[in-house]
Amino acid sequence: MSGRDSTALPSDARPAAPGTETSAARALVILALAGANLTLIQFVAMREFASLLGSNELVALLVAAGYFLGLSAGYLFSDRLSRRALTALGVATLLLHVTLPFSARWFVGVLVAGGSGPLVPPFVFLLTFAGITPFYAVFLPRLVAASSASDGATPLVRCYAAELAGGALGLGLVLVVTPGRMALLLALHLAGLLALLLIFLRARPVAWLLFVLPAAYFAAWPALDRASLASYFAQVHRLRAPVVLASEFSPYQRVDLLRVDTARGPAPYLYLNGNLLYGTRSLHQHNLMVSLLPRLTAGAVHTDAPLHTLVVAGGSLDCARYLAPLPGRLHVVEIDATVTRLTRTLIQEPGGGFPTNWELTIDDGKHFLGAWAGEPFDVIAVDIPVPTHLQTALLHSERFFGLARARLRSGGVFSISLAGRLNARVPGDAAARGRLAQRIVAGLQTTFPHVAVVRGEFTDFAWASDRPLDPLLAAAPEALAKFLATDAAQARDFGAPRLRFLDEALVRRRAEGFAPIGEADMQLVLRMSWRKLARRFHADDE
Amino acid sequence: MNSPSFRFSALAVANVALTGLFFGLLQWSAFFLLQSFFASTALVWLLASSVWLLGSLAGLALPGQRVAEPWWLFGAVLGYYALLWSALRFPYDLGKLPWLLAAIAVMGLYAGRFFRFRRAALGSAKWLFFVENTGFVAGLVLTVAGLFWFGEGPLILAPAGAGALCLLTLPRGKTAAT
Repeated sequence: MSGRDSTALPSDARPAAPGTETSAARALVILALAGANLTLIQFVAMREFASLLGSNELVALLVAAGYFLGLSAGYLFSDRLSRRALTALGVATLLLHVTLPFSARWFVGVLVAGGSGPLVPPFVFLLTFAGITPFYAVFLPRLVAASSASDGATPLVRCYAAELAGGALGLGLVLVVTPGRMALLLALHLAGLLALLLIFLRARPVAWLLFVLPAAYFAAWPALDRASLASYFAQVHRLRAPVVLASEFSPYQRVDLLRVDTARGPAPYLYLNGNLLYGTRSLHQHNLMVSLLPRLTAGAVHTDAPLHTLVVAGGSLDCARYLAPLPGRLHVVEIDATVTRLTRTLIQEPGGGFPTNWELTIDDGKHFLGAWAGEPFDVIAVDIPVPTHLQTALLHSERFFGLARARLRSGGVFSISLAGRLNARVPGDAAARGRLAQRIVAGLQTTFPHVAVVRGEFTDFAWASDRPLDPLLAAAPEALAKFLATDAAQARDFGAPRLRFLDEALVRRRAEGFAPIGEADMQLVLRMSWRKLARRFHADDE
Repeated sequence: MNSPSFRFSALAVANVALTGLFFGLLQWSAFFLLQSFFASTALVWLLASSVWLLGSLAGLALPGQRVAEPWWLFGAVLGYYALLWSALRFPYDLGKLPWLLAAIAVMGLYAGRFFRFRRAALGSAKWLFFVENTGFVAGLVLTVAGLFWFGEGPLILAPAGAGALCLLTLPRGKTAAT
């Protein structure tokens, strides 16, 4: 580090020279700003940058590793950078962050449109590694070292404490600001970065006029956000004329609701962290088969007796639209309040006739069921198409199935997607060993005496119960036909799936030799994540 | 300012790297236990992050070194196993959350205490933070790799194993806290 660097802390041991007290305070402010900004940008990066790839556990690991390795790089080069080089790094970081996240979305779109999709994951890693943390990381060792030269070792404690205190402040800001306000979080981050740079440079008061920059960024956000998202979705997800109806930043993810031109006409599409969760015919059919059909069929078997239904992760609220009018109670559990608020106000309520006689709980499905002490359920449905995070994989684990069975009334039915086909495979075959459908069924079979499979047009679904499922399977085709005949719009959205079933004996044979999904099945999650990434960036289909 | 120096021993470097790895394993395993056995809600995650951070801050700020470093390390390992025990004994019971957060704060305490004890361990803050942080990344990757290859087994064994390695490589005598 240059001997002319003026960010040194004063000595603890000696009386401070005139003017250096300001320097000490300045150094602590720099570190507190760095700590706060590191926390803010980590929170944003783990969601926004991950959603560029379509977030999953592998992507989360990639972004987290990039973020922390960027810190290591900053530490490593902290004493190699001249004051001028550090200033250049700071200005470059500032200029990059003025354009984020819009520029990254546009750039990823250009890469994919230009046939360079495989470069997107390395780009996201590089962006996280080089574009976020190195500038902030430089200050801690540099300021400690500047003081230690004359001061012994105590400054490390003081400097690191200042940075940690800044980190705590950043976490507090995340807690207060987050719901729906990514623009404000990033504007605050930009203001912090600018302040850090100006304090480091001992800028003249007139330079503080640059604070118009975060304000302008905040003002320009809505237009740039929507334009960059529309471009990203058009290029990367190959959507026709997407219009962003809403894009919000929840504590869990970025929630995007779009209107897209489809063969069926304009349709709402819901993306969570870059993953499509609602809008296509296959996803409508997923909702139909996993949560609507079991309840409709159970109603038919019990001759329209009032039934108690639980849908876990039913954020699209299709289940509320179609099941709440049926006799009995409907309970929907969704972890992210932003999802249900947006789907309710932008998809369900504009459709008209949206019922209100159902209960919504914002909670984690596992915790909800674990803590549930009320009336048992007649139907429990898990509305998750594919588990690509540990959190969602846990809803496919043997332990969760045991929990669900404990909360079901005798004769009740548990329904879940198999995220693929339960095809015949040779047990022990290396290629088949990790098959998700077989493993989900294996978990169900260790928990429920009876497990059958309903074959949809695109994927298979499992129904499980403590009683034989034959009466339900026999009633399902008629219940489905009756439901689809009620409304032309329903037939248009859901199509006309022809139901087929795998009976219990065949299901048992096909899952034989497979292990249930365990408590922390990272192998399953990472394999699914890899497959999803490969499909998105190495092939044309999503 | 100290120039890059290799005066420090390989054992000291190994200990700092292993401690970083230990913190990575500990933090990710603890957060996984919370998500898996209690609730995956953002509030739980934010509270856990906050108490880890505040624990680190307290560990760093506490003056004096009357309690030797191995005891802080032992406390962190104990905090983790208290969390694991609670997870298995009281799944989904968020009434126990204050105790769980206290266990995480105890883990964070050592994360702060470590830097007070070892502030001059590698000759400069640069190398201390670089080696510890890179060890932390290794801990993060190892947690995921462990779960990939061995399922939940590493959640039970890895923190104790990494803690034992930290203890074995802990500097003794005068070099312990320069």
